[in-house]
Amino acid sequence: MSEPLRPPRDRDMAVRRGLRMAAWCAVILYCGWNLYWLCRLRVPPALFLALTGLPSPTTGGTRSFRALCAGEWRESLRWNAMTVPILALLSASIVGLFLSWLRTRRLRLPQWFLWAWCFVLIAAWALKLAGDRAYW
Amino acid sequence: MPQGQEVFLGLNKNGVILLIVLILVCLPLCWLPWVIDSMKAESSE
Repeated sequence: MSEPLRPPRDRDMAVRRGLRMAAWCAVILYCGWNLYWLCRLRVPPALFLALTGLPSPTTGGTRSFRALCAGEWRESLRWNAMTVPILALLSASIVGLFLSWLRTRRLRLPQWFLWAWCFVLIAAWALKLAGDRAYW
Repeated sequence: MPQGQEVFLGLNKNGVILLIVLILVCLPLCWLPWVIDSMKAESSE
């Protein structure tokens, strides 16, 4: 026998409760992971890479930036092809937050920043996964 | 404009989903949901 359908309000509350628990679990997992490695006096490896074996969109970003500063742009692109767009968008976000604070005393970014970040990170991820595995 | 009921630390449902994804995939960008209005919950005051 199937259960009677819950009213939409109950379902909404259950979804919110589930999301709240998932958020706490993610925070605890992240903190626990980092503490575990730091207690062993080691730099914590990336959580996503350890869990899935896959790189995240910004994996290799630091090495890419260092290669770029050294003038090795090919090597920089291999480590992370979207380092420059990510840095440009990060700079624009910081400037946007600063201007918002000056104008309204609140930290706000326009909605298009969200879509810009989604586009840049998805492109970075696709390029990373399509690239040479030696650079993961 | 902030929208929806609060689920976690001032964020609405979409904000929390984005936060969880960012914690797992790209932690340095975790602050994003708190500065985009559509990810924030309406104030309960």
